Amino acid sequence: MAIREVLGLYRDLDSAVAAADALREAGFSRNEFEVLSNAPYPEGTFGEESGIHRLFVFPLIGAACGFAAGLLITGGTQLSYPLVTGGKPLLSIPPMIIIMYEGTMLGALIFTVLGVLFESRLPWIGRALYDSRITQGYIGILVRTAPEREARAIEALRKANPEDILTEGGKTGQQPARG
Amino acid sequence: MATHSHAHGHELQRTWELAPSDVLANGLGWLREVGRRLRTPLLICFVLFVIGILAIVATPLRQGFANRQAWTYVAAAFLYLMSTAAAAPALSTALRVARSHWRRPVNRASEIWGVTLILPFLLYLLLLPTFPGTEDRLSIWFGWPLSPWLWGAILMLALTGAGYLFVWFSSVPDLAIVRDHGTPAQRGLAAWLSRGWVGSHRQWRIYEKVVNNIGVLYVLIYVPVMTVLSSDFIIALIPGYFTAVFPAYFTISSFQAGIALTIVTMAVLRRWGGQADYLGREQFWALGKLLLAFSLLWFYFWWSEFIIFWYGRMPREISVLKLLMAETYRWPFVLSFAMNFALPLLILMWNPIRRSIAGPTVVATIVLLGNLIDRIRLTSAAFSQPDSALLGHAHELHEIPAAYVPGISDLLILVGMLAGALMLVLWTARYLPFPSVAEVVGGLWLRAHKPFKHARVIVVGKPE
Repeated sequence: MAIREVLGLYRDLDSAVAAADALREAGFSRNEFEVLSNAPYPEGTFGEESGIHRLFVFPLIGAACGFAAGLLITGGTQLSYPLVTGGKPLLSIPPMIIIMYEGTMLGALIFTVLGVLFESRLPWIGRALYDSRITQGYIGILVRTAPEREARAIEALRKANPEDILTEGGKTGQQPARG
Repeated sequence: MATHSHAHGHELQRTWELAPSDVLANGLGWLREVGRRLRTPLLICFVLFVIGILAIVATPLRQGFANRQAWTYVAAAFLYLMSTAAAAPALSTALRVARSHWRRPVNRASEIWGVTLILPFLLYLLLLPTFPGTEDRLSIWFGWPLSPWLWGAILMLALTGAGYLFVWFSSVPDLAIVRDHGTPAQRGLAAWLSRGWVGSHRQWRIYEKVVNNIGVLYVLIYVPVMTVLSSDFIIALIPGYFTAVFPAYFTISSFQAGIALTIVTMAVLRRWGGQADYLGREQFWALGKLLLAFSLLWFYFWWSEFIIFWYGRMPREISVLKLLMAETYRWPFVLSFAMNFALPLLILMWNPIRRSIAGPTVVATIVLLGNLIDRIRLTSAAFSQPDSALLGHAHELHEIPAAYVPGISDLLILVGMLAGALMLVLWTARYLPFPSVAEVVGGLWLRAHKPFKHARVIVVGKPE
């Protein structure tokens, strides 16, 4: 299904929150729009619910894999090439600990990288509407919706007095300059 | 003006009364000015670094890896960088995890030192061939195959990777600002490093969690790395030095030096970097308290080790004490004791000094020098032992070597490697706004100064 994007740019927080409210009132679900900003806002500022992320799963899986690899290298080596140990246990735990710890940390690190890339959608492969004024302090409300709902989205965004409205066609819904 | 006075004489830092646009303007102002300001220091550091590299080639490399003593100051530079530059990002993690707001302008000053990690990593690779295998000597590796070379290198690689990942991800939002509004020279690299960052709600949510997670991972790797390094570079190279406390001492004193480095960096940024609105008494005071606490811990761990050797008084223990503290390296030890513990305690115990900007800065400078002297003392003592003194699982230091007196090339190596680290920091500072716009602006929503009767009080928001 084709998806159209509309980006409303707001100079201040109050207008951006009003735009998010207007979109909800117009029947847009929270999944259909995204808030873009140059600094983090407290969770729920725009009426969003705290979503679920699976970030913690990645380092856990990585750590488990790394630990298993470390155990395999150290334990496997000693079991595969058994030495005469004079009655002592074949597996010598202390030297294994360091290498297993290394493996655990390395695995956790590598999988954390994968988790970061996956969960934050970095690098962003697809093209999305963006405006460099967002890193200048403007707040962007990016709507992704069906083509037939685009006009409704623009109408809702306009209600909150935007600085600019950008669409995929490059058309801008410029507002009169405010004092 | 960095602070506002009010009726009761307390001062509230101006940072939290600024508008987001002020913070952004300051960050962008830094980016415009930084290239011109840092050109000369960058050039000086580069020249010193090149001289340091030439000194390594001319002296230790020419003498070969078999002569470990020739590498003493390469090792001292390595351990000092690991104790200071590599420890600073760990402090940043601790402050992030504590979720305090005063730390927001501080984080960048400590995290930026993570970019230097490539230098100690390369020095480590260079030093590895000077170590004999561990099959026939006492070490933390228990003679495991390919130790210390392969396994130590993997640990260092993991730390270096975690450090760069931490610096990169914590800077991504600010790199996006540079990408969009930096000078043309700054934009290329910033665009590449911040590819895909649009500041969406989802990205911010992940950002805060990931930066904390990677920081914690960094600390979890840093502590065992320092444990292994203290063992490989010091304990295992001094026969009869049987201690379980030294790695803890080594790590704690590194955290202390990491705090000191952050304070000195903050003082430099405040004095010459136009950061007076962001790095005020609140930050220096808070870190001064931490520095005092770690100075006390320095003594605690040193004493815990010393008392065992002192009461044991076995011949091997007496030899180690003579080598490290009582005879051969007596004065470096006295200086180290004074600069890492006695002076910080005697200065920072006074409230007015601790609550100032100059007090913690002076003490931090003293600690950085004290840590350098300590690392030189330990490395000089350990690297004086030939392989023959270690092999056969030697349990005692039979002959106490003379003190190692550095030559000109040793000093050039030390200065050159430290200048190299500083060069990397200065170069990175051209691409990152000071203060961190994302951190400080993110804190503006959560902290405000409000009137309360005759006073003005700090109101802190806790969204979680």
